Amino acid sequence: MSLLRVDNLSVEFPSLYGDVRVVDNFSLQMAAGEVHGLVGESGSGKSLAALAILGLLDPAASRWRCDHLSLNDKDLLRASASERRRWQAKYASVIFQDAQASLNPSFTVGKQLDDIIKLHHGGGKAERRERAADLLHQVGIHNIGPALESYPHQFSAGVNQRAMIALALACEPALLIADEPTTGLDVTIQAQLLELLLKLNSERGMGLLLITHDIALLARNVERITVMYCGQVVESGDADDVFLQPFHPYTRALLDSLPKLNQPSRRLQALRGAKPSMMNLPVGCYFGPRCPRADRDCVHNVPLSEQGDHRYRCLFPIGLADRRDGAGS
Amino acid sequence: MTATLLTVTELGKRYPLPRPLFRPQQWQTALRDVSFSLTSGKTIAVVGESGSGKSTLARQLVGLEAPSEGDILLEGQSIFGRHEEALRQLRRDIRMIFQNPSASLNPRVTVGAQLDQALQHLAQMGPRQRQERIHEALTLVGLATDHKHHYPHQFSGGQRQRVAIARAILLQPKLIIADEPVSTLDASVQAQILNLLLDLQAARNLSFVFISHDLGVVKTISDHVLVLYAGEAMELGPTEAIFRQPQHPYTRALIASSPTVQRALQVPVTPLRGELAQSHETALGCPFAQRCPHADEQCRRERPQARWLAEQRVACHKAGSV
Repeated sequence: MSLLRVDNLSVEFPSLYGDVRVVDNFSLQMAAGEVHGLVGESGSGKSLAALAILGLLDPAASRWRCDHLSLNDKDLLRASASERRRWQAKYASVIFQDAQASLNPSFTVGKQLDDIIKLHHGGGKAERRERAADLLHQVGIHNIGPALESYPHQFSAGVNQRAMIALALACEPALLIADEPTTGLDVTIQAQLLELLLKLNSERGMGLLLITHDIALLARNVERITVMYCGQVVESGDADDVFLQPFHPYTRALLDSLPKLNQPSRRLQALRGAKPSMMNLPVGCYFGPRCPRADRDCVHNVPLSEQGDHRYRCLFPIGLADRRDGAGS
Repeated sequence: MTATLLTVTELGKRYPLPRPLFRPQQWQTALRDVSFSLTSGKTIAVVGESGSGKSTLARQLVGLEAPSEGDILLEGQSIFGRHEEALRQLRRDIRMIFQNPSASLNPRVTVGAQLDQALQHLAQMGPRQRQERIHEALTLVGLATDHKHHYPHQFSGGQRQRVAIARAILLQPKLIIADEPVSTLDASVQAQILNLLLDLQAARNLSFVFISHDLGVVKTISDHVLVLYAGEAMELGPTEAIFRQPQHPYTRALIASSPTVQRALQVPVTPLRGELAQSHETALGCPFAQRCPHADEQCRRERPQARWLAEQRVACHKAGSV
C-alpha cells in the first residue's frame, strides 16, 4: 500500500525579480509504516516540500503544482479543496523544530490536547481526558495529572517536544512529518526523542518522514533517504546504499564534511564555495560550480537517473562506470 | 615545555534565587570547583548538556562576571580586579566568538566600521594602521577586503561567522573563547569554519576554549576535553584518551548518544534516561547519580572527589570499576 506519493512537485514564490522556484520537481514515495529521511542544508527546500504535501503553504504568497499527490491511496488532486483538507488533517500530522514556539503559551497542555481530541474523536469529558492521559503516557510523560495542568513554559524543551508529539498523535495519523524535531536539543535528549519516534513507528505502523539537515542523525534510523540540494532531489534510495555508497558528489561531500569520532587527521574535508542563491542558480547542474568531479558537460540539465532503486542526479556518479572514467582508459 | 597560558583554579559561581519572605536566601549553583589549565596554541573543549554551566564558565573566562569562588589567571595574573591599561590589555588578550553572529554583530553598522570600533577602543593606532589591520583580518578569515563596506545582513550565515572571527582575531589575542561557534551552521559550512579555526590557531599560536555540545566537532578541534555536568567537572583529560577510553559514565553516555554515521551503522544507541536537574546548594552526592546506570547508595550520599585514572581526572566513585 502506498502511504504517500508525490510526483514532480514544484513550489514557486513570486518576487520582484521573477518567480523563484524553491522546490523543483520533487518526487517522493513512501510505503505504509516506512521511515524516510529527507536531508538537505538550509534553503534546500525540504521543509517547503513537506508544507506543500500537508497543504500548509500560504496560497497568497506561493504557488505550487504537481503531477500527482496521493496520501493513503487517495488521489488528493482529484478531490475538492475541503475534502483534500479533511483527508490531510486526518491522515497526516506534523511536528516542528521548536516545540515551545509551536505550543500555545496561554493554554495548558491538557487543554490543547483536549481541543484536538474533541475535533477528531469527540466524546465526553472523562473519555477525552482518558485519551489525553493515554497519549501522554505513550510519549513517555508519566506524571500525567500535573502534566495536563501544566503550561508549556513549565516544561523543559525535551518534554515540550514530547507534548508536541502527543498532539500530533491525537488524530492517529498514518504519516507523521517531523521537521527537524531534535535540532537545538541536547544529544542525550535528541537520542531519547528519536527512540520515541521510532518506537511509535514500529508499534503503530505509523509512517515517519524525518526532515533534517543533519545527515548523521539519519544513519541507521531510516530505511530510505532522499537528499535535496537547491530545491532538487539529487539522490534517493535505500539508506544503507546511500550511506555506504553514495553516487552523488554532494551526498559524498555532506558525509565527508561531518566531524568523525574516529578520524585521525584534524582538518575536515570541507566543500568549497557556498550554496548559490535561489534567485541566481548556475546553469545546468546546480552543484556543478562546487563539485570536484564537474566538467564541461555539467552545464547541461541533468535528469534523475536510476540504478535499480537508487536514483541520482549526476552525469558522473561516483563508483559507477561513467563516461569520464571510460574516456580516460 | 610550553608556557601555561590560562589557569583556572577551583572556580565556583552561584546566583541568588528570588528570596522568599522570612526565609533565608537560597542559591543556585551554576559552577562548583572547576579547575583546569591550558597551554599556548592548544584548545580545550568544554562539553555538557544545556544547564551544565558551559556558558557560565565562558562569562567568567572573559571577565564579564566575577566568580563566587576561585580565580582565573592569564599568564600568571588574575583577570579580575584589573583597571585601566591592565584591563584594556585583558580585553585585547581574551576575545570571544558567540554562537549566533547575526545577534552579535550590529545590523546597522558596516562590517568595516564595527571592526574599526574595536581597534579604536582597544589599540593605539592611526587610521591607516587600523585599515591595514582590518584588511589583514578579513583576508585571514577568507573574506575579500571589499566586504568591509557590507552590512551583516548581506552575508550568508557562514560568512557572518567569519566576520565574527575576524573581529575576534583583530586585536591579536592570546586566547579565544568560542561559545558554540558552529552549532547553527550547515555541515558543509561548519567544516569550513572549523578548518579556518585550525588554520588560525597554527598561524597565530592561538589558544581556544571551545564550548560545544557536538562531540564530533570537539574531537576534531580540541586537545583536551572538560566534561561538565550540573556545573561540576565530571572528567578532564586529553581528547584522544577521552574518546578512546571515557572513564566517567556521563562521558560515555554523551559519546554514545552523539549521532555519527560510522558508529550508528555499527551499534545501536541506548539513550540516557531523564534530564539534567539543577543542583542546589544543599544537594548531596554525585549530581549525575539520578541518571547514572551504575549509581548506588554511596553515589547518592557522598560527593565524589576528583581523582586520576589513567590520563584523566574523573569525579566518580565507580569509574575504573564498572
